[in-house]
Amino acid sequence: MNAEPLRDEDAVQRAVASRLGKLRSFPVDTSRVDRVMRRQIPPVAARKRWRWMGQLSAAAASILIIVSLMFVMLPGRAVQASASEMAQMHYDIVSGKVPTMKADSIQEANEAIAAMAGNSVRLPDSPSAHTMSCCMRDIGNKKVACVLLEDGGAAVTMSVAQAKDMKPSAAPAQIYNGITYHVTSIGKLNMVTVERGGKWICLMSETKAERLMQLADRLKL
Amino acid sequence: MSLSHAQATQRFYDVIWPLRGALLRTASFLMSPGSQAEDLVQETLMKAFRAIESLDVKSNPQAWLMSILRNTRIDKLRAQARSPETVGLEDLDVAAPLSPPERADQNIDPAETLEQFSDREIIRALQQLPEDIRWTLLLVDVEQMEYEQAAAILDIPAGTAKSRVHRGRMMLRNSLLAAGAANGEAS
Repeated sequence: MNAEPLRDEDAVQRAVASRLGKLRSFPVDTSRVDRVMRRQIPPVAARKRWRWMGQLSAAAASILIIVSLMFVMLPGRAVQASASEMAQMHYDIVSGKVPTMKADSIQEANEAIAAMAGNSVRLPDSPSAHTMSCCMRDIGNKKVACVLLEDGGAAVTMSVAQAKDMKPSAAPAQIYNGITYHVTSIGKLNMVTVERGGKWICLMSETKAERLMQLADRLKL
Repeated sequence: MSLSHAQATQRFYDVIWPLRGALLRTASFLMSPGSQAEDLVQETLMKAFRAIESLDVKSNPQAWLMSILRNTRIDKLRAQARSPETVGLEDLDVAAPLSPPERADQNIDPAETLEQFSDREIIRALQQLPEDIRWTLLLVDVEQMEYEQAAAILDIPAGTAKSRVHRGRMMLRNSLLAAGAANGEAS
């Protein structure tokens, strides 16, 4: 009996399983389901959850939160986007855990984001990647425009904020095509940040960091 | 001890809510384009909320939710005076595993070949498979569940789940290659 066909069959089985596994990161828009479900099952208000803590501890916690918020929300204070926070954001967007809006182009994404937050930063055009969906997220008290891209079969999230709102990355610097990028990795993810045209841009993906720098280099600001 | 409404709501938002993306993805891949995947998910989530007390939080909530999704789907199909398309393994018109369409190049790495198809093409091919096969591939290959877990959701023996996955993968690959070949001829 020829063992070759069986080996081929195994290879096909593995290949299909692997290709189907990638669909797990296919983005879905849960915003409509979210709206309906929140109407039908209103989430428990925070104050109800705190009933057991007793009024005194709740009051103390409230004061602490207000003081913390006042401190954090001081105007002009730049925030640091940690790699773990950005990785979580990436996975939440890719897996559909956070509501996103479908967008077939950066222009559509910018229109959707402008409708959500009028004075938000505009996303730079990424001619070499396919646009899939977008959303607004918060880092600290700063608004960040996010878009999910597909680049060579890999899911890439691009997050963009005003450069003045974000602290410079402490990650090691790498120069690509004359521009300084900060490159780090967390788990399987690579994270590349750059400041260009007054914008802070962060690209995250399981694809190679060099590929992300190439992508960032081709952005049209 | 029964849960209060607030406790049930809290458990729903803590345990079930983070899984709604996976649920909607499964429903969208399961159903043909244009059908009401969102309605199915909403109905499933409502049923999950009503049954939240029976959920053992230490077990696998995703498997629990997928069982509800499947039952809801069956109920809907029955209500439409249809039953989910079932298929006996002996009836499957699967080409012999090593007899892919003529134009497929045997020397090309299968993984490389499949990477040439976009996610949407793969989903479209998946949606053309018989529903029982589709369910099994969605649970095992897309959601990466164990065979035993998928079998429990589908109410079939684990061995049947394995056979369906094996045949389903070959059917999917052959269907993609056939579509690719047809497109090649058309262009």
